Amino acid sequence: MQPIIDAKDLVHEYSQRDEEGNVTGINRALDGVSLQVEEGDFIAVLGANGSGKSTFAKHLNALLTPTEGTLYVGGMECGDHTKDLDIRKTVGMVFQNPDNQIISNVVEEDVGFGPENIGVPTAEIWQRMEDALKNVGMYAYRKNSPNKLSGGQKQRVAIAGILAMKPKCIILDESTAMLDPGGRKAVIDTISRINREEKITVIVITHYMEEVTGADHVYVMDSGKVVMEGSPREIFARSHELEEHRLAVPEAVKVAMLLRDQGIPLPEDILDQEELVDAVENLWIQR
Amino acid sequence: MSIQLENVNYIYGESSGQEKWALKNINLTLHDNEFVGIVGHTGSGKSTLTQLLNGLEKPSSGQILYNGQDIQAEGFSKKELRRKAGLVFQYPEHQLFEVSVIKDVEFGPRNLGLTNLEVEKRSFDALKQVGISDELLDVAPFALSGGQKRRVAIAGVLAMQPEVLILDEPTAGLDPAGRTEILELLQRLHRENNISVILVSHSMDDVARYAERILVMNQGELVLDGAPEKVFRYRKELREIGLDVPQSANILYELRDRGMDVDTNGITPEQAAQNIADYLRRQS
Repeated sequence: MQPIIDAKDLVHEYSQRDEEGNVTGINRALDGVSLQVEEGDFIAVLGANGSGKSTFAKHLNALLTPTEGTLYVGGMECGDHTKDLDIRKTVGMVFQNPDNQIISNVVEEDVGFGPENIGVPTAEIWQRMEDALKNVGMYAYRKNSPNKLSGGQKQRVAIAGILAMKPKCIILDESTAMLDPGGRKAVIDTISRINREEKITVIVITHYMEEVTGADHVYVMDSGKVVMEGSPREIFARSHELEEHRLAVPEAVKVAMLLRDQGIPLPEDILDQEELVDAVENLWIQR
Repeated sequence: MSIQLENVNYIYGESSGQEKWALKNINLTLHDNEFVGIVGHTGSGKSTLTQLLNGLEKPSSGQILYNGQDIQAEGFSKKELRRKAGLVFQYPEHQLFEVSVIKDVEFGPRNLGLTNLEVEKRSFDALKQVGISDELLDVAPFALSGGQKRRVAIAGVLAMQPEVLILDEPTAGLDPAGRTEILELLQRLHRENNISVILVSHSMDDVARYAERILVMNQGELVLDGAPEKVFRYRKELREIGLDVPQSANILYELRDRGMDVDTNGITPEQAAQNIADYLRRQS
């Protein structure tokens, strides 16, 4: 099967210009990124601030076009702008700031805005709105004003707005960065369930390691390049390397790492607290 | 420096009939040279509390004393209070507005009526303290990375030479290395310059590592107040209000629950690893 995302040697350069518009410098934000995402996958792209991960995400729904290299989204080539609308119907994006992407005074109207703009018949808009809001657990708030919602609830409304457009792929571009721990968990739980149940491809862009433990595949970016890739287990086992890329493993993984450094024979691929506690219990039983 | 809150209440929308108590009967003394962490859910009253501390908001009732003086009293200089109690808002980089880094930092001290030389000296010093190098002084703030912008914003407050630095989630949105840089900076300012730090945070792991005293807020009330090791012993009570102990403490408690006699006194990964290693060695 054809991958839903197929990037090859992708390069993106931002030019800095002076007041007259002359180019004074070039910043290579993406520097030869090649990766493929299969339909239905849950992918995480990890990277520190300035690593290029958001620039990459913005290519996936044609907000930015490649300077060099090729990118196919759902089989359509990005770059010549002829397919921009179709690409954006295929890939929906949730941004970082919940307050910047809600446009309506009523939750259900906000969710209906997208489908209305792509010409969905009215009766179906209502049906899609209902399904989408139920899916993210926000149906009870459909008549409310969005500005009374918490950040996490707003992001779930934003996800509903994208679901209502029936995309094949949803990207969360640091969508949890401004949320508190509870809001963050609600958003990640929601998007994971949508991935499982609706078979929608999900790409999570983040620097919170806790959010990627459920991913099928993790890419780590630094200075515009993919520098590590693998399953969450494979990535977390390389915690010293992650620190070099300005990232950090979850505390439980860090404790496991410190214990191994002290010569305690724990497995290298511990992912979370439960696995660590199980592993320590096993050692205890053996002794 | 000391800040004392006596029976402080803060009520929103009193006149509209839809009252909401953001703070309920807060009694609290913040001492000189403390590193205090304030934790609690969104809406627990943390941010309101910080805005009362430097006089941005006025309590609905109760008193706030700065060095024993009532900050609402006639003749008390609010301007002076805001200089001494420097407040760094959430996402302070949104408030950078000048054409260069140095000009932005100079804005505050220049408004204090200091000499040019003094303004420049303070601004250079503040930028040095936050680790912004000389070649960035004339750069536009917008050209900096997220972590750098935030440090410039903190430098702007430091240049006012505050006695206490109050920060509302200064690490929000930063990558792990950027977070560590900011927290280490606060620790250094606290230790080397004797500045009191009041840090509002969502991260139990961060306050466990850096704060000497933790205040736990829930629905406008101050529910726990003490050293981190003590506060995080109230695991059950914290869970009841939807908060958690640091992951490292959780791991130790979890092992204890499974019948292992591990020392549960530990709130950082280093302490947790040490306690577990000690315990396993005792068993063999």
